[in-house]
Amino acid sequence: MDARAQDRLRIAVAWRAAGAEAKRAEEIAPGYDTAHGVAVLRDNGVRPHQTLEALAKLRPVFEKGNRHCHRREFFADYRWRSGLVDWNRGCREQPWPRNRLAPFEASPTRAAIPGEWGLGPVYAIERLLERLHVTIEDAELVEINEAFAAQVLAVLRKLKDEGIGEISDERLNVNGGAIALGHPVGASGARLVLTALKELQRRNARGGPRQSVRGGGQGAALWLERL
Amino acid sequence: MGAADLARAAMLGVLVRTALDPARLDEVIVGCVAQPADALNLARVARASFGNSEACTGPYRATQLRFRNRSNHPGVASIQSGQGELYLVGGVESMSSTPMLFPKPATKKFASLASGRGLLSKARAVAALRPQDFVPTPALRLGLSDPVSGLNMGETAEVLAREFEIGRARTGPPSHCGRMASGRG
Repeated sequence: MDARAQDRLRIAVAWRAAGAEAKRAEEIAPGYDTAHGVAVLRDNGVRPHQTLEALAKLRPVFEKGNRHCHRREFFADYRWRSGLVDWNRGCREQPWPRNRLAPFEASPTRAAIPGEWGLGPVYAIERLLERLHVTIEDAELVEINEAFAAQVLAVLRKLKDEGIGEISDERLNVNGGAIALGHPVGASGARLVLTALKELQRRNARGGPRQSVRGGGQGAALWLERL
Repeated sequence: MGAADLARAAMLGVLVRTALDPARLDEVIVGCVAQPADALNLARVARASFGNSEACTGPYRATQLRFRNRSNHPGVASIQSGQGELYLVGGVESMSSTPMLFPKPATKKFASLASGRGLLSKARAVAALRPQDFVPTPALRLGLSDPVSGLNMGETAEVLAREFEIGRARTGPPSHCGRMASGRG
């Protein structure tokens, strides 16, 4: 998996996230930063003008000479502090109680091999589909947490290699993902759930697994469905 | 903004948008990985900051998330088991507020400096400090490391990148990469 492929994904995710700003605004509650005396009304972390050339200049973070995972992803985590209020993202929003959405049908948790914990979602999705007797093609939307570009590409590849299925761009993280939005580890699941539910509501779609890497090599998968 | 501030703003946003009476809530459940030392029960602290004492009497649960998403589960499980009907659940994380950990020898030196009586005692404590004493370790980096392999989350991503490079040579490029390469993404 070459670094260029990962950079392309980073660019694509940033574009998607930028294009979905109006949608994302529905998921954000305003906050007030008392320390700096400013109101925080929008996510200012997305970089729609990111270029492949700029990404190529970034220094590696985790391994010298290897830039698979670089500072853009690392900083993206920290940019979350700039104002995304995450807590409400896992909660049902208006109108309530009409248009209720089933929270989820199943939520298996599966562990991955230590050292490959980014693959946890693969095993969780596999288990979820088995339990519900559905296929990945039945899902109209799929949200996968993007801990790193390499990680999400590896998950997609593994899903395909294991015969679980392929997830097309048209269904995956349609409003951008954590690479562009940041990766606040304790709030990522809440964001994914709300993002998926809101998009289901917009599209009046049936549902799909929404999953995220979770728990020290574990993965969790949820099947969300409109009632 | 700290985790409690973020939680409070988000909770308020939900309540305002849904026009829900907070007194109807059976429980408030907030998940967090790096729980702030001054707000271990985030749900309670964030809720209490509303200043409405009557609405603050309900049960609150701060869930220590090893990772994401677990706060949804107890809420749903409680509804399914008939323990309650209305749960406010979510996750919060203030990545910029996670603590930095100094080496234990350094903390002892800092303690000596703080507790030293007289200029000479404090001077001795300062003289004992070394450059490495000022190099803290991000707590998040430790928390996101796998105890078995010893790799942190980013390093495991590097493992995957290498592993799937081998696989790619064998079976061709992933479709996702292909679409990106075609200029579509």
